[in-house]
Amino acid sequence: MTSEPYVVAAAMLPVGRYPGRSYVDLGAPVVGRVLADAALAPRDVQAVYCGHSFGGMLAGQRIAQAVGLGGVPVTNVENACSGGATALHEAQAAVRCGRHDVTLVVGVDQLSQFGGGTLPLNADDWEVQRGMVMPALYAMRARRFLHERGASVADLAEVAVKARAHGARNPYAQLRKPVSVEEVLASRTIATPLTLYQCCPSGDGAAALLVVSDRVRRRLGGRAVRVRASVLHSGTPRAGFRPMLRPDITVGSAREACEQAGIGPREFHCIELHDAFTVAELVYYEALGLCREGEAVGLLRSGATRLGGRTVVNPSGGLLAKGHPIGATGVAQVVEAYWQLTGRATGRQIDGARLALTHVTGGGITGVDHGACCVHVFEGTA
Amino acid sequence: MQQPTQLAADVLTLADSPVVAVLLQPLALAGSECPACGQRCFPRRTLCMQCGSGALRDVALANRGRLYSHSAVHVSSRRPVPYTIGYVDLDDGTRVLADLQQVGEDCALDVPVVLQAADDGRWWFAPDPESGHARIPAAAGEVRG
Repeated sequence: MTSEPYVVAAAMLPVGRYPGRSYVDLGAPVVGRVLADAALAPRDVQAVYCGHSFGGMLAGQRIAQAVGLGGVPVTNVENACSGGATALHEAQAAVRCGRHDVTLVVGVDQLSQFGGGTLPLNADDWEVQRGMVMPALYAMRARRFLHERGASVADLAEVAVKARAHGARNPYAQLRKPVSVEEVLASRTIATPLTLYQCCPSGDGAAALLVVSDRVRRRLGGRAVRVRASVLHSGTPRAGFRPMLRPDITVGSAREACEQAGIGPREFHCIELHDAFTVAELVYYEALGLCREGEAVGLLRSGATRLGGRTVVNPSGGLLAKGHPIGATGVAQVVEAYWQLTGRATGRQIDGARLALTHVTGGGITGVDHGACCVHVFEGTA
Repeated sequence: MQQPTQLAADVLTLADSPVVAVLLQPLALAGSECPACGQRCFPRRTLCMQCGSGALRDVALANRGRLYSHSAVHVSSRRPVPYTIGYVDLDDGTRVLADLQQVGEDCALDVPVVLQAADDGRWWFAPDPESGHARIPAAAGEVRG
């Protein structure tokens, strides 16, 4: 029987560096937590979707097994930074079409295994061979933004200041110390014009969701969040000019998600977007339709996207402060949306939050803005 | 929307060209041009990345273009740092990620750049000294330095 999908439980580890732990050590506790919160047993779960990029073979099965869950289909999803959100995309589709009533979504990754530095990208790719790394990609986007929008590096830094101010109120954030514009600009250079505090930290994390049918949601009772839209796009390859300030993969995904949900981009109370680097948040204000082209800096300065504003962007601290454990990130964004829409975002609760959007992109490969982009829309159920 | 042409019959037997840049005389990068949609690309390919058609032909790409953006990279898992790279939009519409020389922090965007190479095969783009328009259209910013 087809059904609207609902998130009925959500949990995550505080993002951080857990170099001694295995993927099971990271993932199993959050899976145990969502099952306990929903008062479901492992045998109630009919399918598992696990997003990760660096966990090796069968990470989903290893985590499921650790909590006594097996026999059911387990699908591992690799989609760079969109892996966790893509796992949710698949889980909610399985519920929506009536294939399953109870699904488990896990996102997990451990970047401390690489020591530090930039995310390892696939060396088959031509641009990666030439020296493309994620900070360089966003740095070029940042320089173009400064050029076309007449913005200053201080405008970029304000994004990090906001992210850290939000992160300081979130016990699950990796970076919880507020910073000033001066400190952001004085931090060491990563890829000009971006400095260290304008780049998301490298960390480890895990997050989990239970996504169920309306029938199960009613049986369980408790507070639930309805999945109003779920959209996944890949990049459209171009061998020539591509405007880095208008990434078509995000523009298209967001528009489609808003259409699916019948909700305009400016109606959301809470947005968790992919601020892997400061400039990204400003570019995505425009790409998501929160403001017109050229108005992103003005929107940030207006305070509308801060806690207390009209559309709070990244109340969790975002990737810049909460952290960015690749495969876990898309799920962790939904955990924040779930907490906000169920009134459990202690210390950073958005008053009256009812509608939320999450947006995550993924990867750097030649010829596209990004390899993947996944957008979800959620509505609280009173 | 461009209709993809039928794939060449022998396309499955062809591997993509080894991913190395080929320098031609007079100095140019070797790329590919799609007979179906006309798009050029770099480096050379077997199938068009935009329309999927086969039988791309090798072409000498334009050796001049405009600098779309650039960055001096100080942290990288790919190469010894620092190095400066950028996107160059060639005059024939091809975008190339390239090493840059003589491009400092104050180098404006959209300035004309030209392909240069060393005897050992290394290549890069640098501001174009022969460009008659060292100043570019006002809307695109001002050239400094």
